Amino acid sequence: MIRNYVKTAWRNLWKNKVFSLINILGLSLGMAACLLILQYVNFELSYDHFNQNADNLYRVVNDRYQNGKLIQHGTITYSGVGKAMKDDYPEVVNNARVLQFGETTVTFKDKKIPKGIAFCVDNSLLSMFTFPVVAGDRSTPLKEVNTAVFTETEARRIFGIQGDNFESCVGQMVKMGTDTFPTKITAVIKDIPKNSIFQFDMLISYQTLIHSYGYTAADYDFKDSDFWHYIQLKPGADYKAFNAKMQAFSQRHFQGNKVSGSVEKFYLQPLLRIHLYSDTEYENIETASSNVVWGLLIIALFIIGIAWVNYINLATARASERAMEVGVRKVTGATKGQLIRQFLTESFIINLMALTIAVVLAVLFQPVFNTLVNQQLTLDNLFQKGLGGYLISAGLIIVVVTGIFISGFYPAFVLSSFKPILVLKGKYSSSKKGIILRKGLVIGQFAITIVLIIGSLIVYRQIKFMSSQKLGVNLDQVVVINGPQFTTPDTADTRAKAFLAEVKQISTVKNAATSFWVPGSETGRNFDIQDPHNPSTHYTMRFNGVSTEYIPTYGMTLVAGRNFSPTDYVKRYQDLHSTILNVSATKLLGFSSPQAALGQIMTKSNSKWTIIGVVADSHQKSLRYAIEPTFFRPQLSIGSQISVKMNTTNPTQTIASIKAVYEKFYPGNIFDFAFLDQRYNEQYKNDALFGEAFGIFGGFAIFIASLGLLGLSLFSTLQRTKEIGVRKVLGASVSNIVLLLSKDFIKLVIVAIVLATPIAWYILHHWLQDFAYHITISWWIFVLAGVVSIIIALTTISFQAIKAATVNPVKSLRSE
Amino acid sequence: MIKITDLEKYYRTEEVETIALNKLSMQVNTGEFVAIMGPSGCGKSTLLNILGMLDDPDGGSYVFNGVEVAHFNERKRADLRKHNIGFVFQSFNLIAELTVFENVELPLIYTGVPSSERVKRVEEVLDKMQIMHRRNHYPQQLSGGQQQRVAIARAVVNKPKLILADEPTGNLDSSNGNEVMELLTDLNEQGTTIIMVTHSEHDARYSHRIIRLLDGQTVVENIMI
Repeated sequence: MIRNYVKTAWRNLWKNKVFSLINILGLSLGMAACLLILQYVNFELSYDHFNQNADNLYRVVNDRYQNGKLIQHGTITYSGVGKAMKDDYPEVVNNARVLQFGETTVTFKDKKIPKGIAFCVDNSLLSMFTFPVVAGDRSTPLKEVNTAVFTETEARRIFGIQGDNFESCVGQMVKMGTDTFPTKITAVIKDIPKNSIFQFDMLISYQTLIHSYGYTAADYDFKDSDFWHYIQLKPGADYKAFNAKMQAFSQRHFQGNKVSGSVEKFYLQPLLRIHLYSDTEYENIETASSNVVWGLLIIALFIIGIAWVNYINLATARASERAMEVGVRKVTGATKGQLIRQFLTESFIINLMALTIAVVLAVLFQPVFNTLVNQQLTLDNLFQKGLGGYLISAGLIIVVVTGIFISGFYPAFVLSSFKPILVLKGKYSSSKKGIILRKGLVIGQFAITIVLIIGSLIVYRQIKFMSSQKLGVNLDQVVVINGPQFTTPDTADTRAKAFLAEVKQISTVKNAATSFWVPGSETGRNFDIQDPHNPSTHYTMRFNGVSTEYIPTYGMTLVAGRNFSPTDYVKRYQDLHSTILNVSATKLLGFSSPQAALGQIMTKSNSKWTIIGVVADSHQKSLRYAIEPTFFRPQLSIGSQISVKMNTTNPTQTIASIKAVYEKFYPGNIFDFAFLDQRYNEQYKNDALFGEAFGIFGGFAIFIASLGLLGLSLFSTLQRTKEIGVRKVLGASVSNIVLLLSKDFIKLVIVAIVLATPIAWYILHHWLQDFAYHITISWWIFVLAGVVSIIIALTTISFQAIKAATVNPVKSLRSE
Repeated sequence: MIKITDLEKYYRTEEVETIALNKLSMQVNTGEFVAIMGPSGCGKSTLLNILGMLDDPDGGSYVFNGVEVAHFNERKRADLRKHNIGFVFQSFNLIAELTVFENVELPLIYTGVPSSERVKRVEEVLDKMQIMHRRNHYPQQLSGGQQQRVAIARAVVNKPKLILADEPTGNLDSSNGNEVMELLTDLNEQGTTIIMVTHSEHDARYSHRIIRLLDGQTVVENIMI
């Protein structure tokens, strides 16, 4: 029986090559897109599931409020919080403090090896997270001061270990960064999985921070909020119930705003939500946008859905061609069930062929896709432990099987319910229901593609808007160089000045400055700024410590007062007293104008600062975020970033000259630079991915939907061959005929436009609300998308329509 | 073999109700060869469809081999049909995607005959219809007469007790038509009951009895000598 089904299915496919090609091509493209997207989605959803305790691990989030307003939504908090939680609540079984060290140069036997990423963590982190030790101390490698743990790769890189002999490096001494004291390697751990929010090469014991660096605030303190905390709850403990207790916790340890100057709100964020659902400030781990992940998943399902709709539409449209066969099979004894099975087999064969081609396509396009999403994905990712296990892979199988059934079942059902005697007498005509369904499905397909077209247009315009918007700082031809790690604090000041002076001597350098942070990075906040008119009220401002050249180097506009002069710089921080505010800061402090702020005193943390100048507001972070009140102070510091503004047609040469000066002043340091405009635009990485994915997969959807339309128009012109012949004999022109054949389809596309417009507006309006600065959605985008879709539909249909309209009518009438 | 009593069938559209069969009664005995004649629209095909259990009556009784089948559901009808009835159509109705052999094999597949047995029986019947040499051809490669021979082969391969033929020679020239009628006569002589709808007085003469219908009622029966 099956053999007979397969045989008929195969011969049917072969006989109707065009329709088969349309079906298989559409399905395989749809499935290939689906496979690629699902790899990405599955990977993103798999983050941190490798941790055996994943379900019980949480990160502490700390929102800070001043004067009833949220002033910081951050993951950084006070060093005492974790231990206090463990002491106060029995459901907390473990806690770990984390401080980010960033890129750290390791010195081993006088060899400096840069670029290892380091975190400073409590030993407990290793028992909470699943980072298995492969050599050395398995239980307490980070308990002692001046100890560190390397990953396998880092151990190989630093110690040149061949094979798996990691025991050989346990007990070795190295120096971290600028340390004067040695650090002992106590253990080697397995490399960190790619789907871990933590990405590091080494972990340094937290005790080192407290005892060797003398950073006492890092131990148990409620004033400096610079630390990250991870908490492990008892299995089965409800974190929401725990979060409900946090108000009392905050009151107990912070007494309103008495301790830290702001009202503290704490809550736990489940580890498994961190990667995709973090909109928090001061991130030090790998995050991605859940919008992109779910958006792509929906697009993937849409694309495959459009391909299945093509199958259903073509199968039902061509039902009359199959009707005779059904009739014959029925009179020779086939039951309805047997016929349904036959047509399902057919749909299964087509889907299977498409899937095979799709796998080949997915493998071929893998490199292109990997570049797009900036990941190293393979088909293996489909079977990675993801959301609650293998849910997505299981989901994929369910979707494919349901797809086969849905796409096969309707045609099977329609075809198998034909009255044999009617169809055998040639009295079959397509049912009204079938036609309505087909129209509905075409409208649905086009509505989805129009939403995707509008989506890509708006996302593209928003990204373009953000990258073309005046930032208030000019990043053009600015090179940023990491500040030197190896220099002594007492010489930093004078050496930095001399270094900047010499860099400025290079003819193709316009200016050079140092600053704690450069545009595009998260600056620090000060939470203790007094309202000058009402000293009991406190405000929060961003700050940056800059050299005199910072404001001119970035082309920032002074709207009142003056820039810092060399005399504003003094060695001791306590003696600093001049500050420059941005316009937002003067408004926050209640000055009527920038001019009015000049010469006034700003009191912060009980020290007095004279406002000597006011600069126009500029974007420190991406346009997703609002500009915040900011003050600048004249400060040179070791490790400050160096910004060099060039005026050159040969950047390579200029950078080589800068490098020479850098190496002269800071010998033994690694010259590591980046073009700031590029680095700044990396903030839009996720948005750009969203836009590109919308565009590319939207294009896929349009192509597949057009294939379906091509099939349907091909079919309807075939059906109307005789009518066209008669009309031509009666004097219809080619354009009359083309219009006749296109009219019905264009009506459907217009209905699709009407449906798609509000949906697209709703989705994209919401998306834009994430950006503090965004475009307004203009009406012409909808018109453009509508026109584009009509043009695509018309072009598709006219292939067939023109061909049919130009056929000699004698031919089509003779076939009677 | 067949006894129908007061059989009724209506066709309804939104506005009009057409009576196709109006309390029709008739009987066909085992081994008979009956021709049904009448003008277009007299209910010939409707009757044939009901006899073939492809359609159900709106009223009256239909007893097939002593079993009342008028109220049978689709599944039961299909079951009864595939074991007892073979069909021959004016337009042959061969499946274009299947070869001669596969077309004839189809009823055996649906009645669950094992593969080796199928080959034997299909070859046997193709041989009898003198179309064996065309077994691997597709229908569109055959002449009309050959196609109808294949269709008859398909109708008889399951050894049905009854063959229903709907204008079997309507699409054939006279020599091919005669050949088909000879075949049907042979089958009848071997014991198969045949009911044939036809417009052709010439073909009707091959039968034992002619039933003439008008407006869904029997008007006259001629017994052939």
